[in-house]
Amino acid sequence: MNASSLARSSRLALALVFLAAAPQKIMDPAAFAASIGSYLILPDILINFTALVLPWLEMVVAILLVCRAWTGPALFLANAMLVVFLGAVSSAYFRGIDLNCGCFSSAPGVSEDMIFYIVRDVIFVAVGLSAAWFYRRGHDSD
Amino acid sequence: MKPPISFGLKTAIIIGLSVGLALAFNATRPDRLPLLRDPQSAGQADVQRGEISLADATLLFHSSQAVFVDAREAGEYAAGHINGAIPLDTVSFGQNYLAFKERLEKAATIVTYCDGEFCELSHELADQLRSMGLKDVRVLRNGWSLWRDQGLPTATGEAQTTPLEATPEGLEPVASQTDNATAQDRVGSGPTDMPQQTEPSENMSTDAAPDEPEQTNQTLQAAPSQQPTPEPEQLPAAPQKPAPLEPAPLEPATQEPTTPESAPLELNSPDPKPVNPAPLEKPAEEPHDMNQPASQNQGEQS
Repeated sequence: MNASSLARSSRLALALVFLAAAPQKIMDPAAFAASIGSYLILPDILINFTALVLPWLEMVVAILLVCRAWTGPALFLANAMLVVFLGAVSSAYFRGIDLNCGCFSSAPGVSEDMIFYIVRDVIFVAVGLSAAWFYRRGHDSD
Repeated sequence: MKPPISFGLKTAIIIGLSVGLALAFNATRPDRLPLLRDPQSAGQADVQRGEISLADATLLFHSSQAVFVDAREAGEYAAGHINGAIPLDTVSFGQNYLAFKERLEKAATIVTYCDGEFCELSHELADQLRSMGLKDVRVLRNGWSLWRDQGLPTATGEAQTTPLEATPEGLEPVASQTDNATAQDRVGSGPTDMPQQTEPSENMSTDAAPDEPEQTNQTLQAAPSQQPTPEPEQLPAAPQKPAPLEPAPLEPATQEPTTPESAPLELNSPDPKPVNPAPLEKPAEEPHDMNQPASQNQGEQS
């Protein structure tokens, strides 16, 4: 497997992550807002706005990554979101907040293993950074 | 390599496009989400869900106007709970409700709690309590975390199951400042001529005692030195049986008739183990324990 295929694979994998994550949150923004609120990071006034915009940003970024259009900014935004997600989950974990991740489902519920969420997000960040690295090296340019 | 402005501009366009799509899509939804969350409306929504704020719950706690009910599992309750809270999880509700029935019915307000923003146990428990005819039942959302983080009075230890066995001899009675009502509440028949309520003063923190509502049956396992053989098999089966305060032989007589009435409740219980064999037998064997407290809180309090 050469660098070019690795670049394509990581980009598409990243797109797949966001394509899988976005629709449920788009369809149920209220529940996603509740999930965001449970992290106790954002002020109340920003929670609904974030819950509305973030899934669409994920969707747009995913489409751009699949279409290989504006890949640089899309990769930048994707990695920025993943890092923020990882930071939020880790922060909640270390603060002892019992919450549902809200990562792939908008429905809050009984908290699962936070370590699982953190490890999963680390993997996603690794995939995102790999895709960005390959893009920067010219293996997967627009 | 594209110039940085192009990169930034594209990034801004992507974000702007996402915002536009989000707002447009939300505007078309019948159940659109308000763009800005209104704390007042959120609070009203909480009230509509039967929730109570921590501040209000604290006031009720200090004025002893509320009975707190812990909806979590017994293990979590033992690890720490609101001081004086009743352990009444939703699974064994039918089994244990009768033990606290009178106390709950006499409470002006009942506050249920569990742990976690999305923990629904407290809401389920509140629904169950309302279905039993109790009126003012509130939910303190994320109650345990909020309570503990605010440094409000807490206690540890499990619910007492066989109070007479576990009651340490020679405990000094504590003035019934905290629970004139609670003593009656705890007793199934609630006689008015009951002996003075005693409290386990040895483990009580002095700052928490005056304000707290009563202590329920707590913590036998937490104090193994006081009860080396508490029949661990039976403890989970009859965790919240109120201890008889009055001459012991009378108490079973008052409790027994309630058991058949609870048949619908007990149907919900997966555990067919009888709730009250231990407390019923003990009073008959040890009638000299008349002055023992109805239930003891021997848990460590923080």
